Amino acid sequence: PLHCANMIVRPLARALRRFSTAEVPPNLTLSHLEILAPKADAAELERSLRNPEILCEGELPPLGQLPLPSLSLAASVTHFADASASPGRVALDPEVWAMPPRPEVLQQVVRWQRACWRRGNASTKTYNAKSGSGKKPHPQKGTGRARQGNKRSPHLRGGVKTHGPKPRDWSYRLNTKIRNMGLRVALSAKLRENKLLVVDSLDLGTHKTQAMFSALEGIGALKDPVLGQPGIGVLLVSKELTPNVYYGHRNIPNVDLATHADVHVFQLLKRKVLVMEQEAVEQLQRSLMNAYLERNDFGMYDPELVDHDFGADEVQEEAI
Amino acid sequence: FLARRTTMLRSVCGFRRFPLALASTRRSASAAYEELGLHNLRNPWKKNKRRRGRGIGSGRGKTSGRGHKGTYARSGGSIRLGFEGGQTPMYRRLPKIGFNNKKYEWKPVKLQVGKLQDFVTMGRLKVPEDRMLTMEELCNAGVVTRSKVLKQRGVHLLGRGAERVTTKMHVEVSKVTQGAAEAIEAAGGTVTAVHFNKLALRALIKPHKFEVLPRRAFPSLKVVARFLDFSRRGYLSPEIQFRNKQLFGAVTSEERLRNEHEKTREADRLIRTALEQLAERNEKAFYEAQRAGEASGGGAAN
Repeated sequence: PLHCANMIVRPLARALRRFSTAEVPPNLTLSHLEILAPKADAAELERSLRNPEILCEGELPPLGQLPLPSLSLAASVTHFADASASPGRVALDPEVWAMPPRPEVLQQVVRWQRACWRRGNASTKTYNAKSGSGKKPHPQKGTGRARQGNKRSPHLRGGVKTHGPKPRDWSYRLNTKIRNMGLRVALSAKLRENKLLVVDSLDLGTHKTQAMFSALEGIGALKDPVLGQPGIGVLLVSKELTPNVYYGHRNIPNVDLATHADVHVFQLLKRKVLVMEQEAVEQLQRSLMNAYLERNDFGMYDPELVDHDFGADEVQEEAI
Repeated sequence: FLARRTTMLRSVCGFRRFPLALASTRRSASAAYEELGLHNLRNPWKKNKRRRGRGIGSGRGKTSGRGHKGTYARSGGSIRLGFEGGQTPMYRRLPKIGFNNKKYEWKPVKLQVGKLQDFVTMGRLKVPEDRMLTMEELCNAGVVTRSKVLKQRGVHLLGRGAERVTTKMHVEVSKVTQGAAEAIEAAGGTVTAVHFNKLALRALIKPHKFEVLPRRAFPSLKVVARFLDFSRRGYLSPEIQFRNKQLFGAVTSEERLRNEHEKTREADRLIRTALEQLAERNEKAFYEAQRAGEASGGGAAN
């Protein structure tokens, strides 16, 4: 097709999504043919996003809309070992689990996290540290050579680097409310994308990795990563660190464990599936919303924004 | 060629301004929501920094927006505020005027009624039953610092801890707030605000420095208004004068203090004369003994 000409620069897989049928040219090979399957209709996708299977009641607001106070959400709690049984239900705070997608907030938080993780050990020598005296190599005039002041000048071989790196601290303070919001947006994304599973307890009674492995396989959490779909692996979130869960998860690749107090945005985005204990869900909700107990910034609920239909723009563009 | 074309396309379409989770609007309507992952986080509202001296294409290379040569082009190169190229600047051409009146303002030391009550409860301050509690007694008890009271010309009674006040006290200070006055009066006591100038305060707090206590000055025109006001419990107001005459027989503590001071001074004088006489007698006895000793020709009797 003609419009493919400018798509050659981008990865092949994304380019081939534009094909409406599953025709593969004979000179191309693909490892993942799922991406060629026809995409769901916009409306259908939106509907599925609003009604994740996880929930036993409650519907997410349309994309871009903030959760109104009247919204109530709940998730069903399953046994970890056999995901079929559902002994209970946990109420989800819409302010934590129904936030609209905010990639710019996540970008800020992830950038801050990665900056804080930097060792900052890059170091170069300056004139002080570099070997060689400060003596002028040869007189200013008289020799036919270019003028030189120092043996280790930056333009010379073996010279120092001008303004080179020094060990430094790359961390900076990001607003605590933005960090808090990052967690809420990431958790909401997990719920919206049907990647959340709430269990009563992650402890399987044994420290054997095999038990944890079969339990995760039973959920379907250990599938191979799909090109185009972000995330790989599982993030287990428990109320407390117990030996069984800790030893059990350790040797399974791409499985992380965190307590509710130690979850962070990078982990949430890196790992595809999120398996949380019921108590961890409740405690995490409570601690995230603690910062907003005295909230009176209801100017956020802008009626124009609430009523705006983000889907309408796309339809108009297509028509044009 | 293709790379250049892609860049042009991106800038023309304003890629960064689109809502990001719906970022595939440019491609097709079939993907309305892109799953958030580490690979598609973008913040369009972050502005690019201005970086000078990084090449021709940036538009700010080489001279980096400073032009050519001159003071402003140099590192640390700028002229100080008010400099006129060497001509005598305006702030030196014109004469100085005026003085700083605020420098001579004095604000009495703040004392909260709660603290006063605490000292009484602890037993550190003894409250006299039938007469006024003066600032000297407050200094002696340690409620306020003596040097600060002298420097700041008095004590200002304020109302924090008003709910704690239960003792009946009759206080005489330089200034009092409405809330503090009400608190003390609710407990059965009284407050009087009296004018103390520098000399009067010194006479109050360090009476031993004076042979005769000077009389207190009448307030100057600037401040007399606050002492005529009952809401500030000023001692010149008719209500306060009447009340104090009834309760204590005098409006301020001045008379009583002067009388006491006179008596103390008298007592001091008597003691001093007695001591001097005793000293004289001892001296005489000593010299006589010495002369007697010399006459007898020996130092044994010394």
